[in-house]
Amino acid sequence: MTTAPADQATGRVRRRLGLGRLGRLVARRARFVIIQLAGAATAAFFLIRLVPGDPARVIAGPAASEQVLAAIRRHLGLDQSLPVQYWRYLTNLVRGDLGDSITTGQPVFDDLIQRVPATLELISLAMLVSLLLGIPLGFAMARRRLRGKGKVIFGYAMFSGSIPDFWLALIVAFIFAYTWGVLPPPIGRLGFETPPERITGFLTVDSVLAGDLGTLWLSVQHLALPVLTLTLVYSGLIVKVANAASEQAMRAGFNDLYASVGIRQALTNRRLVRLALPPVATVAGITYGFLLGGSVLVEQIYSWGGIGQYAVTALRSADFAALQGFIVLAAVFNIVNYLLVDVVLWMVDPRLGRKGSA
Amino acid sequence: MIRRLIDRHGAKTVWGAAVVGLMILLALFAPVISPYGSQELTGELLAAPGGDFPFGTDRRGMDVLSRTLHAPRVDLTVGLAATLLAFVIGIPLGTIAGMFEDRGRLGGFSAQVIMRGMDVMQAFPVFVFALALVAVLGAGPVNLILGLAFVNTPVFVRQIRTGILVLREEAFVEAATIAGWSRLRIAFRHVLPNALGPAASLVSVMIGFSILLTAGLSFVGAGVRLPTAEWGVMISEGSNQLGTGEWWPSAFPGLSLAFTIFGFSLLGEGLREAPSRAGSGALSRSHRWAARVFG
Repeated sequence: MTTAPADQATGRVRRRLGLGRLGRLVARRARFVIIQLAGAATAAFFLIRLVPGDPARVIAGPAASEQVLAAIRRHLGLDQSLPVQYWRYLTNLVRGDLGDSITTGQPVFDDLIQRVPATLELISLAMLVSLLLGIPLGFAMARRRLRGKGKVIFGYAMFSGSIPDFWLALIVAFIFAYTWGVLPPPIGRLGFETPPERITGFLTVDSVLAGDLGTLWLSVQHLALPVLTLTLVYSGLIVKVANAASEQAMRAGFNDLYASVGIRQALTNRRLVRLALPPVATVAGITYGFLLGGSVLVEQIYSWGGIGQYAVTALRSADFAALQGFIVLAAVFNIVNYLLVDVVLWMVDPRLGRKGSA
Repeated sequence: MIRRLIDRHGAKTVWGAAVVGLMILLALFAPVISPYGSQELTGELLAAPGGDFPFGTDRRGMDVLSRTLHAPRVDLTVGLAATLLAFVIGIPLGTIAGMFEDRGRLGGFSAQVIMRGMDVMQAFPVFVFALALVAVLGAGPVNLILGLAFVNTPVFVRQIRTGILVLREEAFVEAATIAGWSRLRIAFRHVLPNALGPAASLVSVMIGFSILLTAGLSFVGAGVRLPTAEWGVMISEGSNQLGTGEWWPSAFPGLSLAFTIFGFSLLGEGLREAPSRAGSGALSRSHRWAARVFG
C-alpha cells in the first residue's frame, strides 16, 4: 500500500493539471484535426488546379516551345489524370514533399522550414506584446481607473482594426527610421550583420545562446517596427474583449463579497483577471491567425525573409508549388493554433470538459 | 437635427452612415469634384502638398487628391459586390445548415457537408486564402470580387445558421409545421426572414473588411493594377519614395482607406445594437401570426 513519495508527488501534479484528461481531450480533438487537415490539403490541391489555362504556359511564358511545356507538365505531374495527381500529392505531402520551388530551385518544404522561424518570431512577439498590453488595459478600463484616458483607449481599440497594416508599416518606417533615424530602416532582421549560428532560427534566442548581446540588441531593434505595426493594428480586439470579460467578471458575486469583508484589492483583482481569461484566450487564438495573415504584407515591406515574403515572391513569379506549400502550412498553423486555444481554455476554465463533455 | 438623429439611431449608426454616405457620393461624383483626371499626368513630379495640389503629386505626376477621390469607385464597388455575393450565397447554405441539421439522411448530410466545407475554408487565414485565390484566378476586379466573395461566404453561412438554430425552436415554427407546411417552405418563408436582420448588420462590417482585403491584395499586385486609382495601388506606388522623404503619395490614400473602413465598421456596430434600442425587436409577419394563434 505504500507508494514512493515521488510517485505521490507526480500523481498530485497530474491530478492538479488533469494531464490524463488533457490527453483524452487532445485525442478526442485529434480526429477533427485530422479531418480538417485532410480537407485543407484537398482544398489547396484543387485551388492550384483552378489556374485558368495551362499552368505550364503560365510558368514558362508565351515564348516557350512545346517541348519545354511538356517537360514542365511532366515535372509537375500534370500529364497524369487528376485522381493520380491527387493521390501522388497526398502521399508526397505525408512524406513532407511539397514539390520544388521554381524561384529558389529548392524543395518547398526546405524553403519553408528555413523561413518559418523568422515569421514565428515576429508574430509571436507581436502576440506577446498585445497580450501584455491588452489585458491590463482592458482590465483597468473595466475598473474605471483610467477615466478620460480609458475613453481614448477604447476609441483606439475601436479604430485599430480599420488601419491597413501594410500602410501603417510604411508610415512607422517613415517616421522612426527615415525621419528620426532612431530605429533601423526596413531591410531585414539584422541589416547587413552576420546572423549568429543557427540553432532555433529565432535570432533573439540564437544570439542569447551564442552569448552575443550586441546581435541580440540589433535583432530587437529590427523587430521593433514590424512588431509595433502588428501590435497597433491587431491588439484592439484583445483590449475590447479583455474589457468586456473583466466587466462580466466584476458582476460575479465574490467581487462584492470580497470588498465587503475587506479582502485586499490586489487579491480580488487576481481572481477577477483569472475569471476573465477564457474569452481573452479565445480571441488571442483568433488574433494569432490574423497575425499570420497580416505578417505577409508587413514581411514584404520589411524584407523579413519569412514565409510571408516567400508567399508574395511565389505569387509574383507564378510559383504555384511554393504558394501551395505556404497555404498548406498556414492551414496547419491555424488548426494547431485552435487546438492550442482549446487546451489553454481547458486549463484556465475548470468548468470545461471535466466530466467527459467536450 | 444631428442630435435628434443620434438620439433616435445612436451615435455609431449616424457617424458610420455619414462616412459611408460620403464615400458613396465620392464614388458617384469623383469626376465632377476632383481637380484633375484620375490618371491625368500633370507634368509636376512629386510636388509637395499645397497650392494646386492639396495632397501633392506622385512620381508619375498624377494628382494624389484626384486619385484618392476616385478610388472609392473601385474599392467600394469591389467591397460591395463581394459582400453581397457572399451574402446571397450564404443565405441558402446557412438556412439548410440550420434547419436540416437533424432532418433525415439527405437533410442531415447536406447540413454536414456545408458546415465541414466552411470549416475547411476557415482553416486558412483569411488574407492568405484570398491571396491564393486571386493569385490562381489572376488579377483584376472581377476575379477580386469572386475571390473575396468566396472568402467571405463562411462568415454569413455561420451567422445565418446560428440565427436559424435559435429561431427554429420558436412556437411559430411548430405552428407552421402543424399547419402542414413543408420544412423547406417554413425554412425560407418563415424562419429565414427573421434571421436576416442580424446577418444584414454584418454586411456593413464585411464591406469594410473586403475593402481592406482589396487594398492589401492590390498592394502586392494581386488585385487591381496600375494605373487604376485604387488606395492599395497608390500606397504601393508611393512606398518607394518614403525613403527619400516624399510621404504624401502613400499617406493620404492610407488615411482615406482607414477612414472608410472605420465608417463601415461603425455603421455595422450601430446596426447590430439597433434591435436592443428599439425594444425587443420587430418580428416578421409569421411571428405575429403565431402570436395571434397561440395568444
